[in-house]
Amino acid sequence: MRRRDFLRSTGLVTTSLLVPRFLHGMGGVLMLNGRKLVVVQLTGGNDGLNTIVPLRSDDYYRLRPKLAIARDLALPITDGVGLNPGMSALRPLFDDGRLCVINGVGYPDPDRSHFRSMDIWHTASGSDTFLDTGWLGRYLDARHTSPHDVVEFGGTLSLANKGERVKALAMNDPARFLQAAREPWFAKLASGGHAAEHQQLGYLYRTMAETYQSAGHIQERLKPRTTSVVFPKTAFATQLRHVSAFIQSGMETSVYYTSAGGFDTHVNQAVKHQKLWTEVGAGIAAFVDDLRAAGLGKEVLVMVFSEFGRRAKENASNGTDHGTAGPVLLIGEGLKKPGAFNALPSLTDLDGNGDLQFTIDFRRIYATLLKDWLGTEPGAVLGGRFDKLPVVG
Amino acid sequence: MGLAPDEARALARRPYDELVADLFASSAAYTPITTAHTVVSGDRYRAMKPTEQFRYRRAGREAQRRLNALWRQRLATTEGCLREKMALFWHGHFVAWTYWSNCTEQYLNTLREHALGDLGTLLKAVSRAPAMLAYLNNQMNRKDAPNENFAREVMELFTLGRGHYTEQDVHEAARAFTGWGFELGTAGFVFHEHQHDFGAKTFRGRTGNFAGDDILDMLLADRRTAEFITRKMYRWFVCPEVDEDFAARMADRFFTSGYDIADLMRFVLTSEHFRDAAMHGRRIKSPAELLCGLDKHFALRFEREEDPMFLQRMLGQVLLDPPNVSGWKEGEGWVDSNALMLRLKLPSALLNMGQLDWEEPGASTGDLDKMAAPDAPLRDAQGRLFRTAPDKAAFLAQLDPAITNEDLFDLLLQVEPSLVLRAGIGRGPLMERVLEILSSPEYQLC
Repeated sequence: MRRRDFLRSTGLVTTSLLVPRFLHGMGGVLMLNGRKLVVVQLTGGNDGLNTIVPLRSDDYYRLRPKLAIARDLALPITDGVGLNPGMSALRPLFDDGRLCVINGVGYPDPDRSHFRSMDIWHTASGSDTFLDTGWLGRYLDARHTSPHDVVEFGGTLSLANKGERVKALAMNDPARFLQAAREPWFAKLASGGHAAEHQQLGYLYRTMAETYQSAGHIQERLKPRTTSVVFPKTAFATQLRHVSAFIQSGMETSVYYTSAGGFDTHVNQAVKHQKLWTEVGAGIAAFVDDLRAAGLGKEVLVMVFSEFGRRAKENASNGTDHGTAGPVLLIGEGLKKPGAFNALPSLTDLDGNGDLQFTIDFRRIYATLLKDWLGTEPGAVLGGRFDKLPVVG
Repeated sequence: MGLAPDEARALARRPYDELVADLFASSAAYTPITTAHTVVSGDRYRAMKPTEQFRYRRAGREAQRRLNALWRQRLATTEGCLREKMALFWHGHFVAWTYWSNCTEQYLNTLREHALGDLGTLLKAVSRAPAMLAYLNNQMNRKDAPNENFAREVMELFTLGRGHYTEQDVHEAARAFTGWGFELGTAGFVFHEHQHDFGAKTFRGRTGNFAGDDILDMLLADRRTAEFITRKMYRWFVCPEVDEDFAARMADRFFTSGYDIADLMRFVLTSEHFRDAAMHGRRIKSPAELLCGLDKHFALRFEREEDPMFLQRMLGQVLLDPPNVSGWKEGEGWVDSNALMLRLKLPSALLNMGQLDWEEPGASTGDLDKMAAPDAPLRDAQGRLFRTAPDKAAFLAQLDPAITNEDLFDLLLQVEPSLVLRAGIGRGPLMERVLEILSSPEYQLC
C-alpha cells in the first residue's frame, strides 16, 4: 500500500475549512475606532539616564563622572530634567504638549539578559513565566481579526506580534512583500480554497491564505503619501515612512511595530548614544509632522520602549552595562498629561546590583494603551489586572 | 534530515530493522569538530593593540561561523546522521550560547559525544561546559553572592519541568553549584574551592552537604525527569500532539534503563507507533532540517560561509545561536506569513544561483554581540543574496526522465499532497515540477 493510500484510509485526514474566518462575510478588519498605535522598539537596552537626564542630581554626576551629560548641554524640559542633546528634533514636540515621558518603567525581579528581558516585554509576562504568545498577538486573537490588523516593519515577526490563533503580518518593504505574495505559484496555492488536510498542513495553507488575502487587501488600498515631509534616509525612518503611507491610505491596521537597534552601549557610549537618538528623534519627528500635515495627527500615538535601561554607574570602558528600569515615551496629540508623567527613579535607593528600582510596571502602560487608546479590554490580553495610567484620553 | 533520490531508492529495498541497525552502526563513532582559532585570556586581550584586538575579534567570529558550517555539513551527511540529529535535539534542550569559539566548540562536542550515551553523563558534562557556565552566569555563583540562574534552569528546562520544585530548592541548589567555573584559554571546567559553599543544604526534602553532582543525581532519580524529556523527544521526533500512552512507555523505558539514550531511540524507531504511516509528516521542518534536506538534493556548496548563516537567520534558526535559554519555538513557531513565503521561494532561489527577490535584512537588531549580527551579507554585484552552485544535473540524473508526478510526490513528500497541489502542478519540464513540489506547504512537513 502506498503511504498516501494508507493515510487516506485512516481517520487522520480530516476535512477542515482552510479559508480564515474573516473572509466569511466579515469583509475586513473589525474597526472599533480609527486610532493607530505605533510601537517603536529600541533594541539593545537604551540608557534611560542619559535619555531623560536628572540635571539636578549630584548622584547622577557622581555615578557618571565621564558619561554624565553636562547641565548646559542637555535640552531642559522641566525643572531639573533635560533631554539628551541628540533629541533636538523631539524638543518641539515636548514644547507643544505632544510628548509624555513615563519614568522608571520596568517589572519586578528584572532580568538583565537582552533576549529574556525583551521576551518579557514582548509577552507581557512576569520574569518567572515563559509565554509563547505576545501581547499584540493576543490583542489580534481577542479582536478576531486578520493578520494585517497588526503590521510589523523590519523583516521577521517579533514575539510581541504572535498570537495563539492569529499572527501579525511582517514585512520590510511593502512593494517587495506584495510582489512576493503575487507570485503565480504562491497565488495558485494560496487561493486554492478548501482542501482536506491534516492539522499541520492545514495550518500552513491557512497561513498562506491569510497572507495572500492580507496582501490583497493592502494592495487594493495602499497609495503613495500625499504629504511632502522628507524622512531621513535611515532604516528606522524608512519604516516610519511606510507606516505613514499605510495610515494615509486609510488602511485598517490598528497597530504598527517598528524598531531601531544599536542601543547596547557597553563601550564609548557618549557619541554613539547621542547619534542613535539623533536618528531616532529625527525619524519620529518627521513621522508625526507628516501625519499632522495629512490631518491625521490626532489618530496616531507612538510608544517608545526598550528592553531595559542601563546600570546607574558607568563602567570602566566609557560605557554602561545592562540595567533595569527605563523611560517610556508617548508621542501624539491625544495626550492627557504631556510632559513628565512622574518623577525620575531614585539614584540613591538602588537595588543590590546598583540598578534603578522600577516605579511603573510596563504592563500598566500596555493596559492603558489597549483600553484608553485602542478600545480593547486589557484583561484577556494581559492575563491579569494592571491599573491604567491617566495619560491618554 | 532528508535523503537524495538515489539514497532513498537504495534504502527502500532493504528491510526496516536492518536500516535502523545501520543507522546506529553508522553513528557509533564520534569525532570532534574543531577549528584552529585560539582564544586568549582577558588580560592578554586587554594587552593587545586596538588593531590586534580588532583582528582577534574578527578571527573569533570567523571561527564561530566555521563551527556552524562544519556542523551543518555533518547534519547534511547521511553517514552518522543519527548522532548529529540527536545532538541537534540536545542543543535545543541544553541551550547555551557563548561569545568564545573554543567554548562553543567544547559545548558542541559535548553534545555530540554524549548524544547517544546516557543522560546522566550528558547532563553532568554539559553542566560543566564553560558555554553553559557563562550563559547561565554560574561563574558568578559564589558562596557569598549566589547566582541562581543555572540552578533554576537546570530544574525548569533541563530536568523536572516547571512546577515540580520550590523556590527553596532553587536557593539550595544554587549553593551546591557555587564555585563551578571555567578557564577561558583552555575552555576547561574549574572548581573554585574557596568560592564553594560547603555547608549543609536542604534540597527537595533531604538535608546533606550536597555538591553540584549530588543535586544532578537527585534530579535524575526523579521519574519526572524521564517524563519531561521523553515528552519533548516525542514532540521533536514523532508528532507535536503527544500520544500519552506511547509517551508513558517511552518514559518507562528511559527511566528503567538508567537513561540510556540509544536504547530509548531504538525503542522509538522500531516501534509500530513510529512506523505507522499516520505519524509521518506530522512535524513542520525546522530551518536546519529544511536547509539540510535541500542540501542533500542539490549538494549546495556555499561560496561564502556567512551566506548559509544569513539564510538560517532569515528562516529563524541559527545553529549554535539560540534565541534564549528556552530554545527555539518549534513546530508552528517556525512559520509566520513572511517565513512561509520565504520558505516557498527558497528552493527556486537556491537553484537560481542565489537570485532571491526578497527583502533585505531590516534595521540591525542591535549591537548584541551575537555572532551572527555583525556580518549580514549584502547583495553582490549581480544582485545575489548568496552564492551557491547547486548541482541540478546530478539531481536530475538520479531521476527517471519519465517519472510521474505521483512518483515525485512519493519521493519528495512525507504527506499526501493536497488537492490544491495536485491540481496546481503542471505538466512542464521535470525540473519545473520538482521545484513546484519543493515550493509547496507539503514540503515543509516531515
